[in-house]
Amino acid sequence: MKVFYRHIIVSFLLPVFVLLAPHAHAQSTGAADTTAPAKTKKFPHSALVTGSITDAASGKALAGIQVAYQDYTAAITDGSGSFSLEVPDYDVTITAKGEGYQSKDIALKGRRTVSAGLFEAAYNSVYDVAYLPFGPRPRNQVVHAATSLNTQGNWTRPAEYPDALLQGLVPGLNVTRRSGTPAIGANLYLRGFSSLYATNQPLIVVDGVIFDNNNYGNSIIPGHTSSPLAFIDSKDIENITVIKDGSSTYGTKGANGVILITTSRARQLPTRIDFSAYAGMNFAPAELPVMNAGQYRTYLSEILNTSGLTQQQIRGYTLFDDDTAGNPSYYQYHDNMDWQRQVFKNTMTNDYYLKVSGGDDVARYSLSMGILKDRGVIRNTSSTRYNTRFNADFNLNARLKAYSNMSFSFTDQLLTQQGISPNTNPIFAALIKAPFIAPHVVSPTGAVSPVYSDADTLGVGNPLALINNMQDISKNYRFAGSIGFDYRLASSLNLVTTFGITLDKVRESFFVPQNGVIPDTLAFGIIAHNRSASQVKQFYSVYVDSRLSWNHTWNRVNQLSAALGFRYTQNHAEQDIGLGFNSPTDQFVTVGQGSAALRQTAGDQDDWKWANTYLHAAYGLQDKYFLDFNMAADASSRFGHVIPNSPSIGSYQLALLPSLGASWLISSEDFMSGVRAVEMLKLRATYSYTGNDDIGNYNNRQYYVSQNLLGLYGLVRGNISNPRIQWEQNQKLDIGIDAAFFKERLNLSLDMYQHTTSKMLVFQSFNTAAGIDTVPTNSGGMQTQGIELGINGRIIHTRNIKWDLGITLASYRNKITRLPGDGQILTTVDGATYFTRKYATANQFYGYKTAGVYSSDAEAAKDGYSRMMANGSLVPFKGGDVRFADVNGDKIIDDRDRQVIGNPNPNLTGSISSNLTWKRWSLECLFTFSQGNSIYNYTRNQLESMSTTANQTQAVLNRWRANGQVTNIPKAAYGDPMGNSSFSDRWIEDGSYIRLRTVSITYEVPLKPAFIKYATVYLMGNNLLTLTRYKGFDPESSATGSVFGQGIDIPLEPLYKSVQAGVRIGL
Amino acid sequence: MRSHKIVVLLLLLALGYLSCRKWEDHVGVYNQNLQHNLLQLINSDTGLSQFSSLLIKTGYDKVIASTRTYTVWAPRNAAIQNLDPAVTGDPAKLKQYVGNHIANEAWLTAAATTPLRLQMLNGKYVRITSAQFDSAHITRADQYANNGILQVIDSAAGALPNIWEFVNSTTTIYAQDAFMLTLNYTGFDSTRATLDSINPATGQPVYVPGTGQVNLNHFTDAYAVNNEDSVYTYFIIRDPAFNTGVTAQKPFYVTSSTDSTTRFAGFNVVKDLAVRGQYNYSQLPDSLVLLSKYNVRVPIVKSAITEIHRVSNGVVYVLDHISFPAGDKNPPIVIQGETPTALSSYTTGNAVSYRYVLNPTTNTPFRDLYVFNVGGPFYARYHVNNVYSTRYHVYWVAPNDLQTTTFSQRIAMDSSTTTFPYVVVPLMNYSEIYLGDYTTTTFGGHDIYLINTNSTTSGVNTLDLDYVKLVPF
Repeated sequence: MKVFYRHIIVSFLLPVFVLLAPHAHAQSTGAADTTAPAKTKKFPHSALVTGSITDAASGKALAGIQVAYQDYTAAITDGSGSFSLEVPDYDVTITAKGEGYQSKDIALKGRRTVSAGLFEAAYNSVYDVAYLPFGPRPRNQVVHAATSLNTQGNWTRPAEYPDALLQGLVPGLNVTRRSGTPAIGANLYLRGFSSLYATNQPLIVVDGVIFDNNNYGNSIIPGHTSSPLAFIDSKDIENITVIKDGSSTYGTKGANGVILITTSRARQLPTRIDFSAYAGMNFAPAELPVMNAGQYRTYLSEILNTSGLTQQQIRGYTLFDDDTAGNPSYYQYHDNMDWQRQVFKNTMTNDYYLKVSGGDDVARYSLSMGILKDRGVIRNTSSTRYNTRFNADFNLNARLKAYSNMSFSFTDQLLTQQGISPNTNPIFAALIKAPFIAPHVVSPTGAVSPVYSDADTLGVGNPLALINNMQDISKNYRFAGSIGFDYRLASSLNLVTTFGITLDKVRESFFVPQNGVIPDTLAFGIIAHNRSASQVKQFYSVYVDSRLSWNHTWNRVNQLSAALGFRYTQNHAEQDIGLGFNSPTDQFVTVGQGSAALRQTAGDQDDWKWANTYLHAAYGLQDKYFLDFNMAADASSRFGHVIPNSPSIGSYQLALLPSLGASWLISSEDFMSGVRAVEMLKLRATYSYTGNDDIGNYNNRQYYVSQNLLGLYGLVRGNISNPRIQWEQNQKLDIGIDAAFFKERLNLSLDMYQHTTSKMLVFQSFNTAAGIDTVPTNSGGMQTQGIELGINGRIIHTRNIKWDLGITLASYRNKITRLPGDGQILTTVDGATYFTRKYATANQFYGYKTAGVYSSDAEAAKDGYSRMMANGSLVPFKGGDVRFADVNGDKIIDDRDRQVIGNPNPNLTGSISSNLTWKRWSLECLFTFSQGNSIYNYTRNQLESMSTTANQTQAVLNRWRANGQVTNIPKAAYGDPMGNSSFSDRWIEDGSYIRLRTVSITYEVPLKPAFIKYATVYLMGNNLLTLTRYKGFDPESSATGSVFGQGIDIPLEPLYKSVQAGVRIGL
Repeated sequence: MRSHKIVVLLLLLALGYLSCRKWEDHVGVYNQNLQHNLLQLINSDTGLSQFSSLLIKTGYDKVIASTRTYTVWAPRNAAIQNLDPAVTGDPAKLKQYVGNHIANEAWLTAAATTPLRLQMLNGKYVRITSAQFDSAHITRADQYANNGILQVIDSAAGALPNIWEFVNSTTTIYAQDAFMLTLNYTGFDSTRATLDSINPATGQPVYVPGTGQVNLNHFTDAYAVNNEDSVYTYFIIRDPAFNTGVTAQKPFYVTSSTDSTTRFAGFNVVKDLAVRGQYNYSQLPDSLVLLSKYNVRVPIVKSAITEIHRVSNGVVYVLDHISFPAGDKNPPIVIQGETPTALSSYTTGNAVSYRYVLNPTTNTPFRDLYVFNVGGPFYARYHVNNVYSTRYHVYWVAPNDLQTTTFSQRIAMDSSTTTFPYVVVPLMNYSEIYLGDYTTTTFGGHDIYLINTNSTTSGVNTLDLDYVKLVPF
């Protein structure tokens, strides 16, 4: 009992105490071997199989490899690698494993003598273990489409966040990083998307507890998103398993698949200390080619001339006055600034990590701490994460095991405003800011003051003021802790219970100063010279997962594992916002210091509950035939209470979601014994029902919202409740093949699937008279079909040189099958229009098609198109206007001439990975690519529309000037009366790219065993090379997780190249 | 080590090339014209070499090679090879001349389908149509460069004087223009004065003596014909008619000195010899449509026009004669009742009203002075400036629309010199009533008194006046 108490204390005390743990356990580190001692049983009709085990690379005989048949018999190979093992018959499968080597199943297929070559442990083998919701299972037995990544600490990618880390590693998982800002997160789309308005993000489960990766309430900092996954240090991650199908055990949370993350636990008893330190550099992105001061001045005088200003008024702008002596603001307006360079900068990244693990027979622990400081590429921004994790396992007595996972992370971010916030986004300001304006206040004689110049007469703020004087701060933390017990009620009958809690807090604040920034206008025309805001978002969640599990094998060939369990979560999210305006000076930066009369507050609270009862049964016959059945019955506070055709308990409507999967390990059949080329061949098929419960917390109820009418506050009806609102239902059909050839030298996995969403959430329009615009209903439908392929091969396989090459490919097609009303939805986001229509792919870009620019008035007159102005007059197109396609033939270019001009969904995504090792060196590369996706280049639209005084790209140097000029850039026209820059295929670009996502060189320093057990040196690069025709900072960015908003590139911090060097030392 | 650096450099260059390549086609300028600025475009045309050399001489070559946008109307060599040596020899004149062919901003001929008046770099305005630059024809239109537009013209367009410069240069030819200069005076412009201090007592600025003096002219005060931005049509009357006109006006301006009489009389002639806007010959209305700033009809008879002069801010016509409609030059003087200069006594209460009432017969509003129950003798005094030295018929309008009885009132001119008798003011009478005649021999300011019946009786001591009108005859 004393020992028991000691370990309980260790498990609960914070890391400071636990640091002492290695010493406490030092005495017990001698008891090294955790491998269960081989049992020996006699079979009624026993047979003897003999064989030899070799190293697959060198062909050398391996001694000390354990060869076993289930729990019944086991043998150890001798010096010549030979073994002999007693088995019930010659149809069974035996397993070979040893320290430093892969575990491998050997199907006897009637043979009495077998031989096998084992690969090194790190090899991506078909016999690897996949960590599934009901425990680990060898990949060759898995029924479902799942990809398991034994990431083993990701030491070559220390600064990657878990979502970005997955990029290119899982066929069918398309990861799009939101932007280059550190810790901003990524959007994960597993097999395309399944919903228009509900979430399309997979469920994330960390160490058996649902990890809520959502954001409750937007950030107050424009363009920013906080990403809970960024709290997890990649180096803590041991395995990531992505379940693409068969996720129905998670019921109405499984529609988009499940990502199971397993963090590292102590596998061995001796105390191990891992320390790593990395330092790296981020490189400022290549600048967009905007015009220089001279080019811009010419443009400016031209655009002003079209704005209705007279010659005199234009000359009135002192910025055109080139008289050094007579013009007091000559020096203010005769600079030549590279504003992008003022915003972007090469910066440093640092990362330190320490992990201590060990234990004894009773308790094992793994403790890690890390600091990651990444400064992005925008000046004065950074993200610093402090993370700790403590995982422990206890063998409390013969029947009771306990385990705990505790993590606490804190992130401190200095940010800047991004996206479409034209007055405060320094990137955008740097692009459009007149290059001839001096960044500092300059005297008439040219003396430069340290004070930043104010916003200019052209209405653009000073990027330097935005970078240096604006404050955008986000401080977040998350505590995620769980304790679990595994009690053996009887042999093979266990009761497993996990309790988890999550506490998450996001504190954000910003201050936008007066000097150097364009003021904002509030209601009633009040000018907000400076602005401040503060927000606190809290999330609290309790999670319980309890189940009875039963494993049984009879007649040695029938294996059944079953579980009946119950999951329950209760969640609370709260958001509180305060906005302040017009504090006395730019030195008063908090909301409380703003003008009391203008202060605003807002907030939001959400509570929801989810209960999920599940049944799991996995049956295996002869290690060849596998059948999986899962069933979930969900209840949720979000569901309506009169859902048709749905069973209920009391007033709770239940979602019943079954799934069935089967697989056949053909390669273990006797008739395959002659096919030597095939190492493993498995066919599998699954059909499952899952659901999506992201239908809004309160849409099933009637609620009221506050409203202000002429200064009086009151409550008005906020919605029309929909008591029939229910989960979206997803039927998933998946057929797949897993195969390994040539003694595992070539492995592949191929999947074809069809996902059908019914009861899809849509917002149905109401008659205006209802006073409410829309009501959410389950009246849509969608179907996605796709194919995925993953291939791994060992190209070179010698003792010294090993080269692995991997390819993943994924493709999907999406189709809307059902929409209410007129069967189409037009959605406008950031100036782009998405078109979603029945029987067509959802969210396609919808705009004008263009065919160049009219070179002369005569040419335009030949077409005879015109545009209707606001006053109803028709104005004909002239030379220098864009030639739009007139779809309906009425010679008037208007909304009715729009057509589908692009599709943000890629045709093909995937990756190519390569891992070359030579002696102690290894070189790993990962290329990711995306093909055939369209991007709406919002930034370029702003930079080439030539409708304002904003600086533009150098492309507008080719703008149309006079009749006869053949060009594809229209004329400059203030306000763009002819709509030349309207949403058209001019701004739709091919977003295909191939990127050298990561490259790393690892060198294991040869050391004599001493105090330092091992040392590894790393040199790594990220995003070093991107080949694309896309004209933007980067083809990869995704400002929003919504389906509508995909493929829009707004001015965000771009992804950047970075290099890191690091060392890992083992003590 | 060096070779390593080169390899690294080459690698970086290759990477840079690959990542920049996508923009290259997009932003590259492949159009020959757009690779050149206006100067290069002009220099590339040998037919414009003369103009090009003039550009270099005047320094305008640097201007049109700069980063603002310009339009150049370049005359072909043939048009300027025989340029007046007086222009080529005088750098200032040459600059003025060349600058007259360059305008700020880009102007395509299509923009001038309705004629444009564009200011050139010399400050002068030139009229442009889709085919013409002033009188020159555009032979090669809308050539573009990266900083503007080049139009080639077939003849030169030298800088024209503006109206005031023309007036100044023709004082020896036309007596009218010589007279114009007599209207010069020196004024004070605070924006050009040097501030000395602020008077602590009044808060008013004190300027350094002698600063802020500007030369002004009464005619240009009325018509800014010296401003290039404004467009006027200016008429010159040849000497005989002009002199006759002045002589005819002299009796109206009898003062203590002959000079001032001549000046007043002369001004009354010239003040209606300009109209706003440019009326080209064909547009000149051959009737009494043009109105001067002083609401005088300007009767242009086209047959009387003997010369037309082109100027930069309008047009100048020389006329043999002009005869303004009788009475337009010396119109009646109207004194509004509601604008008294002074009242005889300060009255409390609401005895004095400045009413805003409606004339029920014409439905037009008017204002008047109405004094009711003032308690005793009372008058209102009106000071009238610029009363011609002549005879007048005197009228008034006194509606008497408020009370139900009539009352009597009278007017007196200059306190005592001319006294009109009491007149009974009839009820509800909105028409002019003839009061008698008035003669004055001096031009200038005069007082008119409106006097009530000396009574304490309410309704009897009333005063009411819409206006008094002095009609010369």
